[in-house]
Amino acid sequence: MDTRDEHTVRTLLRAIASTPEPPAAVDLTAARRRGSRRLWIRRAALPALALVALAVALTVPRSLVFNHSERTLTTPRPPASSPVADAPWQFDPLVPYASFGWLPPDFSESAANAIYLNQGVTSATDFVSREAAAPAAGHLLYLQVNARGTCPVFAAGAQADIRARGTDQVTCTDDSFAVTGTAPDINGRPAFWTDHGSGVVWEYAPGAWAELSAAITPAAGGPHSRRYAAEAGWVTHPRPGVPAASVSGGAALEAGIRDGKVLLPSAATEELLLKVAARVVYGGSTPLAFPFRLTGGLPAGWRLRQAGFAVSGGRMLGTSITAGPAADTSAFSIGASTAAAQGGCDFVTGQSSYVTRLGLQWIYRVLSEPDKNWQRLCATGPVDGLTGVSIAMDMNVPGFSTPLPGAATLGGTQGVLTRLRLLGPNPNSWTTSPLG
Amino acid sequence: MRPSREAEYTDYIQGRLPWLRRVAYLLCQDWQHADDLVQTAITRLYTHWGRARNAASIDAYTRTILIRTFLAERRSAWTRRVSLFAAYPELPVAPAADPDTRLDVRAALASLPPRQRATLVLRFYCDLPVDGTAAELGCTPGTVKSQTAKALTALRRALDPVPAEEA
Repeated sequence: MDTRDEHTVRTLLRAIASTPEPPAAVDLTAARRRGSRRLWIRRAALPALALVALAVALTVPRSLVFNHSERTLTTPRPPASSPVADAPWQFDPLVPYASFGWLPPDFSESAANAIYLNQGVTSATDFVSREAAAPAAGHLLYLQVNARGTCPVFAAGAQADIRARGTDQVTCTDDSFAVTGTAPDINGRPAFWTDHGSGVVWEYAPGAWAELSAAITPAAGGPHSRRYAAEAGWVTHPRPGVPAASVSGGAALEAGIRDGKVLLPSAATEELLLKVAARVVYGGSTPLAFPFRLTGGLPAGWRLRQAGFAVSGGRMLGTSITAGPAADTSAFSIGASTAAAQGGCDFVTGQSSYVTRLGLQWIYRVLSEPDKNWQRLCATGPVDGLTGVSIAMDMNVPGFSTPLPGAATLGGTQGVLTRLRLLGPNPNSWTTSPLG
Repeated sequence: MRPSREAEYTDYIQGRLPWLRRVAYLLCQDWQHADDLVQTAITRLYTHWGRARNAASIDAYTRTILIRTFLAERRSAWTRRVSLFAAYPELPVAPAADPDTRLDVRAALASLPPRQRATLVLRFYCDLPVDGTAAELGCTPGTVKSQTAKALTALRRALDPVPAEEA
């Protein structure tokens, strides 16, 4: 291979890409609708499942039921976590509020951070997310612990209704899921199955809810993710007694229905979800360590809203912060990490230009429209041993031509860079106070 | 999804659709199929929008979904169909990218295994460094380098009637 080859390929690829394109057949409305369709299909399957559950309860030999009960009872459960009497209304993003207290032996958070789109997990004012993976099996566990009061649908008065008929979509901060049945209580508090048992949501403290879901790693994902999930052992093929459903095709596959049969999480998967959920630890005290510090602080009225982090070798390493005023809570973000690979530096013709800062080329991208005005500054290579160094800022209130209060005082992304102290690749030198 | 985020998502897709289609087209060399890929990818993006909007780069996040959708689809049995370009003719590459050359290169690209094709598109169309390409493909930088070398060698053989003489 030589540079001539690379140059040739680059030129030819651009030439191919410039081929006159036919009108797009992409349907944005359909894409938006499909997320809802997935839930709709499940909702359509619910009555049949309820009938089957009733039929199974009436007709399955008692010996089988007892066998199942005995197996469940004899399966060793790790001790449950301590009950939480009073969850906060808001979390401190710099100190993740929750963590896994127990994971199966082949799962780890480091493995999840290494494979899951390299975006890390989040500690925000209203929720904390964590991920753990068993890469060899293609299994991924996603945990989201929400602050008190962020899942109003689970108000006490509504729980009986949810128990009776399920609900199609519950949104807790950044998380949306369908509630499809009642799960065994977790640490003495109510719990529900989500997505037919591939997840469980439970009240970990009065008025505060968490969700844990079984997913698959992206490498095993794609349009046939449920099939891969089945092969990975998350779901059965299908459970005995579950009837053919009336839907078929790709949408059905995505909804967990294949060959006219509903794919349900295996009993082992549900058992594992309950075990992991019962052991989640709340009220963390270990702060994140960040490889950067912004001197001078934030403009008046701006607050830190969330932090991205990765877990590596048992340490929680901050990779980004997001802040903003009430008018735009994600107006401003800084990112940097020591991950071996960081993408995200896009040069967009007409918007981007190259600038040299700190002896390195950066891509400076500006979008300036009446109702949308933002800047991105992104290093094209490692800076002080850190990768993916980037700064993003909204200069207007999104959707309006109004300048975002306080944005000008930061001097745009290039002004922020002059106040940014990068602390090198060694976490021992990092700070728990990234905002000075 | 909250209405405000729905609007964000719509706004983003409308702005980036031409770019997404071009990347998808380079991956599969068929506009209809490219649109199918983009349709699947943006549907997945919709379900992950909360995470995507907080990513360091939404474009990178979206591109990763697109690439992985393409690769996952190629792994499934029904798309392991016979490549129409399995025995493409060995034709010379012209110095300029004229329409005929585009066809030749398309044929040569289509003959590459999907992962090698994705590697070339990420490295030489999306201009990602080796590390960035590795992140999007979920492999090591060493694998990216070897895939790139193999792909370039295959392309050179396909497009150059004279055996390569360089070391």
